[in-house]
Amino acid sequence: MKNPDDKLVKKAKMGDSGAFGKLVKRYQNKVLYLAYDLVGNYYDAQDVAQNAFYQAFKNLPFFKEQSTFSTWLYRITTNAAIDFQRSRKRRQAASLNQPMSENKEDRELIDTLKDSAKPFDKKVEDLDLKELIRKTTESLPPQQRAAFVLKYFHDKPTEDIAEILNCDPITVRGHILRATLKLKKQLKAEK
Amino acid sequence: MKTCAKQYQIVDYFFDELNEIQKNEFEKHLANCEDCRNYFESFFSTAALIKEQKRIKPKPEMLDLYYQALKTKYPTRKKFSFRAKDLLDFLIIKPSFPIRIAEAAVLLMIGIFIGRATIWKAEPVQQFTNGNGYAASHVSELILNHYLQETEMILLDVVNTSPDEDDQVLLSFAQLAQYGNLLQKTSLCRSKAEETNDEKLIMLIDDIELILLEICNIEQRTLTEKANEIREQINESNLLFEIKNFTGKEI
Ligand SMILES: [Zn+2]
Repeated sequence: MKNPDDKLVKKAKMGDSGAFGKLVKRYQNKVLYLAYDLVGNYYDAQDVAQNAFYQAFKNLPFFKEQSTFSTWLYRITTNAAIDFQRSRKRRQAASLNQPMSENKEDRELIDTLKDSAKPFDKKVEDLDLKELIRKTTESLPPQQRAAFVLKYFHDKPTEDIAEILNCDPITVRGHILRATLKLKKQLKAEK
Repeated sequence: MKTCAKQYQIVDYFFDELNEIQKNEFEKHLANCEDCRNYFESFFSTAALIKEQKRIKPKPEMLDLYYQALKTKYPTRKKFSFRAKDLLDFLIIKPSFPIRIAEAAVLLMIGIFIGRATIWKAEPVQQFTNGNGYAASHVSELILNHYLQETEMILLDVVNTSPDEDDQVLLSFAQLAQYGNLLQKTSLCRSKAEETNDEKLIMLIDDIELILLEICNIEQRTLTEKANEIREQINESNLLFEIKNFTGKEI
Protein backbone atom coordinates (compact mmCIF):
# COMPACT_ATOMS: atom_id res chain seq x y z
CA MET A 1 0.00 0.00 0.00
CA LYS A 2 1.06 3.53 -0.70
CA ASN A 3 2.63 5.40 2.19
CA PRO A 4 0.33 8.28 3.13
CA ASP A 5 3.35 10.45 4.05
CA ASP A 6 4.84 10.44 0.56
CA LYS A 7 2.64 13.12 -0.88
CA LEU A 8 3.14 15.51 2.02
CA VAL A 9 6.88 14.91 1.92
CA LYS A 10 7.00 15.76 -1.78
CA LYS A 11 4.99 18.92 -1.21
CA ALA A 12 7.10 19.92 1.78
CA LYS A 13 10.29 19.38 -0.21
CA MET A 14 8.95 21.75 -2.82
CA GLY A 15 8.60 24.39 -0.16
CA ASP A 16 5.00 23.91 0.94
CA SER A 17 5.31 24.86 4.59
CA GLY A 18 1.76 23.79 5.31
CA ALA A 19 2.62 20.27 4.20
CA PHE A 20 5.52 20.11 6.63
CA GLY A 21 3.23 21.40 9.37
CA LYS A 22 0.90 18.51 8.66
CA LEU A 23 3.74 16.03 8.96
CA VAL A 24 4.75 17.62 12.26
CA LYS A 25 1.21 17.29 13.52
CA ARG A 26 1.07 13.69 12.41
CA TYR A 27 4.26 12.79 14.26
CA GLN A 28 4.30 15.17 17.22
CA ASN A 29 3.24 12.52 19.72
CA LYS A 30 5.40 9.74 18.38
CA VAL A 31 8.48 11.95 18.38
CA LEU A 32 7.76 13.26 21.89
CA TYR A 33 7.30 9.78 23.28
CA LEU A 34 10.43 8.46 21.62
CA ALA A 35 12.38 11.40 23.04
CA TYR A 36 10.87 10.70 26.46
CA ASP A 37 11.79 7.03 26.27
CA LEU A 38 15.34 8.04 25.45
CA VAL A 39 15.94 10.93 27.87
CA GLY A 40 13.69 9.87 30.72
CA ASN A 41 11.62 13.01 31.40
CA TYR A 42 9.13 15.14 29.52
CA TYR A 43 10.81 18.41 30.35
CA ASP A 44 13.88 17.50 28.31
CA ALA A 45 11.92 15.32 25.90
CA GLN A 46 9.96 18.24 24.47
CA ASP A 47 13.21 20.12 23.85
CA VAL A 48 14.64 17.11 22.09
CA ALA A 49 11.44 16.66 20.08
CA GLN A 50 11.39 20.29 18.99
CA ASN A 51 15.03 20.08 18.05
CA ALA A 52 14.33 16.91 16.04
CA PHE A 53 11.58 18.65 14.06
CA TYR A 54 13.88 21.58 13.44
CA GLN A 55 16.60 19.23 12.16
CA ALA A 56 14.06 17.49 9.94
CA PHE A 57 12.84 20.80 8.57
CA LYS A 58 16.37 21.95 7.86
CA ASN A 59 17.48 18.69 6.26
CA LEU A 60 14.33 17.87 4.35
CA PRO A 61 15.78 18.99 1.00
CA PHE A 62 18.52 16.38 1.46
CA PHE A 63 16.14 13.58 2.42
CA LYS A 64 16.61 11.07 -0.40
CA GLU A 65 13.47 9.04 0.36
CA GLN A 66 15.43 5.79 0.39
CA SER A 67 13.73 5.06 3.67
CA THR A 68 10.26 6.15 4.74
CA PHE A 69 9.81 9.60 6.23
CA SER A 70 8.85 7.96 9.49
CA THR A 71 12.11 5.99 9.69
CA TRP A 72 14.10 9.08 8.77
CA LEU A 73 12.37 11.15 11.46
CA TYR A 74 12.90 8.43 14.06
CA ARG A 75 16.58 8.42 13.20
CA ILE A 76 16.82 12.18 13.61
CA THR A 77 14.99 12.00 16.92
CA THR A 78 17.16 9.17 18.22
CA ASN A 79 20.32 11.06 17.30
CA ALA A 80 19.01 14.26 18.86
CA ALA A 81 18.26 12.36 22.08
CA ILE A 82 21.66 10.70 22.18
CA ASP A 83 23.38 14.04 21.55
CA PHE A 84 21.32 15.56 24.31
CA GLN A 85 22.33 12.85 26.77
CA ARG A 86 26.00 13.36 25.97
CA SER A 87 25.84 17.10 26.47
CA ARG A 88 23.84 16.63 29.66
CA LYS A 89 26.60 14.45 31.04
CA ARG A 90 29.12 17.14 30.16
CA ARG A 91 26.94 19.80 31.79
CA GLN A 92 26.53 17.72 34.94
CA ALA A 93 30.27 17.16 35.17
CA ALA A 94 30.85 20.89 34.79
CA SER A 95 28.19 21.97 37.28
CA LEU A 96 29.75 19.94 40.06
CA ASN A 97 32.38 22.65 40.27
CA GLN A 98 29.93 25.51 40.18
CA PRO A 99 27.84 27.08 42.94
CA MET A 100 24.06 26.67 42.79
CA SER A 101 22.00 29.59 41.56
CA GLU A 102 21.73 32.21 44.28
CA ASN A 103 18.23 33.16 43.25
CA LYS A 104 15.69 31.16 45.23
CA GLU A 105 12.84 31.81 42.80
CA ASP A 106 14.94 30.62 39.92
CA ARG A 107 15.74 27.45 41.71
CA GLU A 108 12.13 26.82 42.64
CA LEU A 109 10.99 27.38 39.09
CA ILE A 110 13.55 24.96 37.76
CA ASP A 111 12.55 22.41 40.37
CA THR A 112 8.87 22.72 39.51
CA LEU A 113 9.54 22.38 35.84
CA LYS A 114 11.64 19.33 36.37
CA ASP A 115 9.34 17.86 38.94
CA SER A 116 6.88 16.01 36.72
CA ALA A 117 9.82 14.69 34.90
CA LYS A 118 12.34 13.66 37.44
CA PRO A 119 12.56 9.95 37.02
CA PHE A 120 14.32 8.53 40.04
CA ASP A 121 14.37 10.38 43.27
CA LYS A 122 12.48 7.66 45.09
CA LYS A 123 13.96 4.83 47.07
CA VAL A 124 14.45 1.61 45.23
CA GLU A 125 11.74 -0.23 47.14
CA ASP A 126 9.15 2.39 46.13
CA LEU A 127 9.80 1.98 42.46
CA ASP A 128 7.14 0.24 40.51
CA LEU A 129 7.96 -1.96 37.59
CA LYS A 130 7.51 0.84 35.06
CA GLU A 131 10.05 2.98 36.82
CA LEU A 132 12.40 0.11 37.40
CA ILE A 133 12.43 -0.62 33.69
CA ARG A 134 13.11 3.03 32.96
CA LYS A 135 15.89 3.14 35.49
CA THR A 136 17.50 0.10 33.98
CA THR A 137 17.24 1.42 30.43
CA GLU A 138 19.11 4.52 31.58
CA SER A 139 22.14 2.43 32.35
CA LEU A 140 22.21 0.84 28.89
CA PRO A 141 24.65 2.08 26.23
CA PRO A 142 22.86 4.65 24.00
CA GLN A 143 22.42 2.45 20.93
CA GLN A 144 21.26 -0.51 22.97
CA ARG A 145 18.79 1.66 24.82
CA ALA A 146 17.45 3.03 21.53
CA ALA A 147 17.04 -0.46 20.05
CA PHE A 148 15.28 -1.54 23.24
CA VAL A 149 12.72 1.28 23.39
CA LEU A 150 12.06 1.24 19.63
CA LYS A 151 11.25 -2.44 19.87
CA TYR A 152 9.27 -2.62 23.09
CA PHE A 153 7.57 0.76 23.24
CA HIS A 154 7.31 1.76 19.59
CA ASP A 155 6.64 -1.65 18.02
CA LYS A 156 9.21 -1.11 15.29
CA PRO A 157 10.21 -4.07 13.13
CA THR A 158 13.85 -5.11 13.54
CA GLU A 159 14.69 -4.09 9.98
CA ASP A 160 13.36 -0.57 10.60
CA ILE A 161 15.34 -0.26 13.82
CA ALA A 162 18.46 -1.26 11.92
CA GLU A 163 17.75 1.54 9.47
CA ILE A 164 17.04 4.05 12.22
CA LEU A 165 20.25 3.16 14.06
CA ASN A 166 22.24 2.69 10.87
CA CYS A 167 23.46 -0.75 11.87
CA ASP A 168 23.00 -4.41 10.98
CA PRO A 169 19.71 -6.14 11.95
CA ILE A 170 21.72 -8.80 13.76
CA THR A 171 23.19 -6.08 15.97
CA VAL A 172 19.66 -4.90 16.79
CA ARG A 173 18.66 -8.41 17.82
CA GLY A 174 21.77 -8.63 19.98
CA HIS A 175 20.95 -5.31 21.66
CA ILE A 176 17.43 -6.44 22.45
CA LEU A 177 18.50 -9.83 23.78
CA ARG A 178 21.18 -8.36 26.00
CA ALA A 179 19.06 -5.46 27.26
CA THR A 180 16.18 -7.80 28.10
CA LEU A 181 18.40 -10.20 30.04
CA LYS A 182 20.04 -7.33 31.86
CA LEU A 183 16.60 -6.15 32.91
CA LYS A 184 15.72 -9.61 34.10
CA LYS A 185 18.80 -9.56 36.31
CA GLN A 186 17.87 -6.14 37.69
CA LEU A 187 14.32 -7.23 38.43
CA LYS A 188 15.64 -10.20 40.40
CA ALA A 189 18.10 -8.05 42.27
CA GLU A 190 15.51 -5.44 43.25
CA LYS A 191 12.65 -7.71 44.25
CA MET B 1 29.83 -18.85 26.80
CA LYS B 2 29.19 -20.82 23.65
CA THR B 3 26.24 -19.51 21.70
CA CYS B 4 24.10 -21.11 19.07
CA ALA B 5 23.84 -19.20 15.81
CA LYS B 6 20.04 -19.41 15.88
CA GLN B 7 19.84 -17.59 19.19
CA TYR B 8 19.06 -14.21 17.62
CA GLN B 9 15.90 -15.57 16.09
CA ILE B 10 14.43 -15.60 19.59
CA VAL B 11 13.79 -11.87 19.17
CA ASP B 12 12.07 -12.30 15.82
CA TYR B 13 10.06 -15.19 17.18
CA PHE B 14 8.89 -13.30 20.23
CA PHE B 15 7.93 -10.20 18.25
CA ASP B 16 6.21 -12.28 15.60
CA GLU B 17 8.46 -11.28 12.72
CA LEU B 18 9.01 -14.74 11.23
CA ASN B 19 6.96 -16.11 8.38
CA GLU B 20 5.15 -19.43 8.83
CA ILE B 21 8.00 -21.52 7.44
CA GLN B 22 10.66 -19.79 9.54
CA LYS B 23 8.43 -20.06 12.57
CA ASN B 24 8.00 -23.80 12.16
CA GLU B 25 11.71 -24.26 11.60
CA PHE B 26 12.56 -22.29 14.70
CA GLU B 27 10.10 -24.21 16.82
CA LYS B 28 11.69 -27.44 15.64
CA HIS B 29 15.08 -26.02 16.50
CA LEU B 30 13.91 -25.04 19.97
CA ALA B 31 12.76 -28.58 20.61
CA ASN B 32 16.22 -29.89 19.75
CA CYS B 33 18.60 -27.20 21.07
CA GLU B 34 18.84 -26.93 24.83
CA ASP B 35 20.93 -23.77 24.65
CA CYS B 36 18.28 -21.88 22.74
CA ARG B 37 15.49 -23.33 24.84
CA ASN B 38 17.05 -22.10 28.06
CA TYR B 39 17.81 -18.77 26.55
CA PHE B 40 14.30 -18.46 25.20
CA GLU B 41 12.66 -19.28 28.51
CA SER B 42 14.87 -16.77 30.22
CA PHE B 43 14.00 -14.12 27.65
CA PHE B 44 10.32 -14.76 27.18
CA SER B 45 8.84 -13.98 30.60
CA THR B 46 10.81 -10.77 31.02
CA ALA B 47 10.10 -9.62 27.48
CA ALA B 48 6.37 -10.20 28.00
CA LEU B 49 6.50 -8.24 31.25
CA ILE B 50 8.28 -5.29 29.65
CA LYS B 51 5.99 -5.24 26.66
CA GLU B 52 2.88 -4.72 28.74
CA GLN B 53 4.24 -1.68 30.57
CA LYS B 54 2.60 1.57 29.58
CA ARG B 55 4.61 4.75 29.70
CA ILE B 56 3.78 7.55 32.14
CA LYS B 57 1.71 10.19 30.37
CA PRO B 58 2.86 13.82 30.22
CA LYS B 59 0.94 16.51 32.06
CA PRO B 60 -1.73 18.10 29.83
CA GLU B 61 -0.33 21.61 30.43
CA MET B 62 3.06 20.53 29.21
CA LEU B 63 1.53 18.82 26.21
CA ASP B 64 -0.42 21.97 25.32
CA LEU B 65 2.70 24.10 25.46
CA TYR B 66 4.53 21.63 23.27
CA TYR B 67 1.75 21.45 20.66
CA GLN B 68 1.44 25.21 20.67
CA ALA B 69 5.16 25.70 20.13
CA LEU B 70 5.17 23.32 17.18
CA LYS B 71 2.05 24.84 15.69
CA THR B 72 3.56 28.30 15.81
CA LYS B 73 6.79 27.17 14.18
CA TYR B 74 5.23 24.83 11.63
CA PRO B 75 1.73 25.96 10.72
CA THR B 76 -0.42 23.47 8.84
CA ARG B 77 -1.98 26.14 6.65
CA LYS B 78 -0.28 28.55 4.37
CA LYS B 79 -2.92 31.23 4.01
CA PHE B 80 -6.13 31.87 5.86
CA SER B 81 -7.25 29.81 8.74
CA PHE B 82 -10.94 29.51 9.14
CA ARG B 83 -13.02 27.65 11.66
CA ALA B 84 -14.32 25.35 8.98
CA LYS B 85 -16.00 23.02 11.39
CA ASP B 86 -18.02 25.78 13.00
CA LEU B 87 -19.20 26.95 9.63
CA LEU B 88 -20.15 23.44 8.62
CA ASP B 89 -22.00 22.88 11.83
CA PHE B 90 -23.95 25.98 11.03
CA LEU B 91 -24.61 25.09 7.40
CA ILE B 92 -25.40 21.45 7.74
CA ILE B 93 -27.96 19.86 9.97
CA LYS B 94 -26.67 16.44 10.78
CA PRO B 95 -29.22 13.74 10.09
CA SER B 96 -29.26 10.53 12.08
CA PHE B 97 -26.68 7.98 11.26
CA PRO B 98 -28.73 5.34 9.33
CA ILE B 99 -30.17 8.11 7.18
CA ARG B 100 -26.70 9.35 6.40
CA ILE B 101 -25.60 5.85 5.36
CA ALA B 102 -28.64 5.53 3.12
CA GLU B 103 -28.02 8.93 1.60
CA ALA B 104 -24.42 8.10 0.90
CA ALA B 105 -25.40 4.84 -0.74
CA VAL B 106 -28.04 6.52 -2.92
CA LEU B 107 -25.62 9.23 -3.93
CA LEU B 108 -23.06 6.63 -4.86
CA MET B 109 -25.59 4.85 -7.05
CA ILE B 110 -26.58 8.05 -8.77
CA GLY B 111 -22.94 8.91 -9.15
CA ILE B 112 -22.11 5.65 -10.82
CA PHE B 113 -25.10 6.06 -13.13
CA ILE B 114 -24.24 9.62 -14.08
CA GLY B 115 -20.63 8.63 -14.48
CA ARG B 116 -21.51 5.89 -16.95
CA ALA B 117 -24.00 8.04 -18.83
CA THR B 118 -21.44 10.78 -19.27
CA ILE B 119 -18.77 8.42 -20.46
CA TRP B 120 -21.16 6.95 -23.01
CA LYS B 121 -21.82 10.37 -24.38
CA ALA B 122 -18.14 11.05 -24.76
CA GLU B 123 -16.75 11.85 -28.17
CA PRO B 124 -15.15 8.83 -29.80
CA VAL B 125 -11.98 10.69 -30.80
CA GLN B 126 -9.61 10.65 -27.86
CA GLN B 127 -6.30 12.36 -27.94
CA PHE B 128 -4.77 10.67 -24.96
CA THR B 129 -6.11 8.46 -22.29
CA ASN B 130 -5.16 7.93 -18.70
CA GLY B 131 -4.77 4.54 -17.03
CA ASN B 132 -8.49 4.04 -16.79
CA GLY B 133 -8.99 4.32 -20.50
CA TYR B 134 -11.08 7.47 -20.28
CA ALA B 135 -9.93 10.57 -22.02
CA ALA B 136 -9.24 13.13 -19.38
CA SER B 137 -10.81 15.85 -21.49
CA HIS B 138 -14.15 14.06 -21.49
CA VAL B 139 -14.54 13.78 -17.79
CA SER B 140 -17.42 16.06 -17.23
CA GLU B 141 -17.67 18.74 -14.65
CA LEU B 142 -20.67 16.89 -13.41
CA ILE B 143 -18.47 14.00 -12.36
CA LEU B 144 -16.05 16.31 -10.65
CA ASN B 145 -18.85 17.98 -8.78
CA HIS B 146 -20.38 14.70 -7.88
CA TYR B 147 -17.06 13.27 -6.83
CA LEU B 148 -16.58 16.15 -4.43
CA GLN B 149 -20.05 15.71 -3.01
CA GLU B 150 -19.50 12.03 -2.56
CA THR B 151 -16.23 12.62 -0.81
CA GLU B 152 -17.74 15.29 1.35
CA MET B 153 -20.49 12.94 2.42
CA ILE B 154 -18.05 10.27 3.48
CA LEU B 155 -15.74 12.68 5.25
CA LEU B 156 -18.63 14.25 7.10
CA ASP B 157 -19.75 10.87 8.27
CA VAL B 158 -16.30 9.92 9.40
CA VAL B 159 -15.95 13.16 11.33
CA ASN B 160 -19.37 12.87 12.86
CA THR B 161 -18.95 9.32 14.04
CA SER B 162 -17.90 9.88 17.59
CA PRO B 163 -15.28 7.56 19.06
CA ASP B 164 -17.80 6.14 21.49
CA GLU B 165 -20.14 5.35 18.66
CA ASP B 166 -19.32 2.03 17.09
CA ASP B 167 -16.05 2.34 15.26
CA GLN B 168 -17.07 -0.65 13.20
CA VAL B 169 -19.11 1.90 11.30
CA LEU B 170 -15.85 3.31 10.03
CA LEU B 171 -14.98 0.01 8.48
CA SER B 172 -18.15 0.28 6.45
CA PHE B 173 -17.01 3.70 5.27
CA ALA B 174 -13.74 2.14 4.26
CA GLN B 175 -15.72 -0.32 2.20
CA LEU B 176 -17.99 2.42 0.94
CA ALA B 177 -15.02 4.42 -0.26
CA GLN B 178 -13.69 1.39 -2.06
CA TYR B 179 -17.09 0.50 -3.40
CA GLY B 180 -17.48 3.89 -4.95
CA ASN B 181 -14.09 3.55 -6.62
CA LEU B 182 -13.44 6.94 -5.16
CA LEU B 183 -9.73 6.56 -5.43
CA GLN B 184 -9.96 5.86 -9.14
CA LYS B 185 -12.21 8.83 -9.56
CA THR B 186 -9.66 10.86 -7.69
CA SER B 187 -7.01 10.28 -10.32
CA LEU B 188 -9.58 10.91 -13.03
CA CYS B 189 -10.50 14.24 -11.51
CA ARG B 190 -6.91 15.16 -11.01
CA SER B 191 -6.17 14.79 -14.70
CA LYS B 192 -9.12 17.04 -15.34
CA ALA B 193 -7.74 19.59 -12.93
CA GLU B 194 -4.25 19.29 -14.36
CA GLU B 195 -5.59 19.83 -17.80
CA THR B 196 -7.13 23.12 -16.83
CA ASN B 197 -4.08 23.94 -14.73
CA ASP B 198 -6.28 24.57 -11.72
CA GLU B 199 -3.64 24.64 -8.99
CA LYS B 200 -6.12 25.09 -6.20
CA LEU B 201 -8.20 22.15 -7.31
CA ILE B 202 -5.13 19.94 -7.76
CA MET B 203 -4.08 20.68 -4.21
CA LEU B 204 -7.56 19.98 -2.93
CA ILE B 205 -7.70 16.65 -4.75
CA ASP B 206 -4.26 15.74 -3.40
CA ASP B 207 -5.47 16.38 0.12
CA ILE B 208 -8.60 14.37 -0.47
CA GLU B 209 -6.63 11.47 -1.86
CA LEU B 210 -4.45 11.40 1.21
CA ILE B 211 -7.42 11.06 3.53
CA LEU B 212 -9.21 8.57 1.29
CA LEU B 213 -6.12 6.40 1.21
CA GLU B 214 -6.09 6.36 4.96
CA ILE B 215 -9.77 5.53 5.15
CA CYS B 216 -9.38 2.71 2.64
CA ASN B 217 -6.44 1.35 4.60
CA ILE B 218 -8.33 1.09 7.86
CA GLU B 219 -8.06 -2.37 9.27
CA GLN B 220 -9.81 -4.13 12.08
CA ARG B 221 -6.53 -4.38 13.97
CA THR B 222 -5.83 -0.68 14.38
CA LEU B 223 -9.38 0.50 14.05
CA THR B 224 -9.97 2.81 16.99
CA GLU B 225 -6.56 4.40 17.03
CA LYS B 226 -6.59 4.95 13.29
CA ALA B 227 -10.15 6.25 13.35
CA ASN B 228 -9.30 8.94 15.85
CA GLU B 229 -6.24 9.90 13.87
CA ILE B 230 -8.23 10.27 10.66
CA ARG B 231 -10.97 12.25 12.35
CA GLU B 232 -8.42 14.64 13.72
CA GLN B 233 -6.78 14.89 10.33
CA ILE B 234 -10.01 15.75 8.54
CA ASN B 235 -10.97 18.34 11.11
CA GLU B 236 -7.59 19.88 11.11
CA SER B 237 -7.13 19.99 7.35
CA ASN B 238 -10.06 22.30 6.59
CA LEU B 239 -10.85 19.87 3.82
CA LEU B 240 -14.60 19.95 4.27
CA PHE B 241 -14.64 23.68 4.08
CA GLU B 242 -12.60 23.67 0.92
CA ILE B 243 -14.79 21.08 -0.72
CA LYS B 244 -17.79 23.24 0.07
CA ASN B 245 -15.91 26.10 -1.47
CA PHE B 246 -15.63 24.22 -4.71
CA THR B 247 -19.02 22.58 -4.90
CA GLY B 248 -20.71 25.83 -3.92
CA LYS B 249 -19.53 27.54 -7.06
CA GLU B 250 -19.06 26.73 -10.71
CA ILE B 251 -15.99 24.67 -11.44
ZN1 LIG C 1 20.13 -23.24 19.20
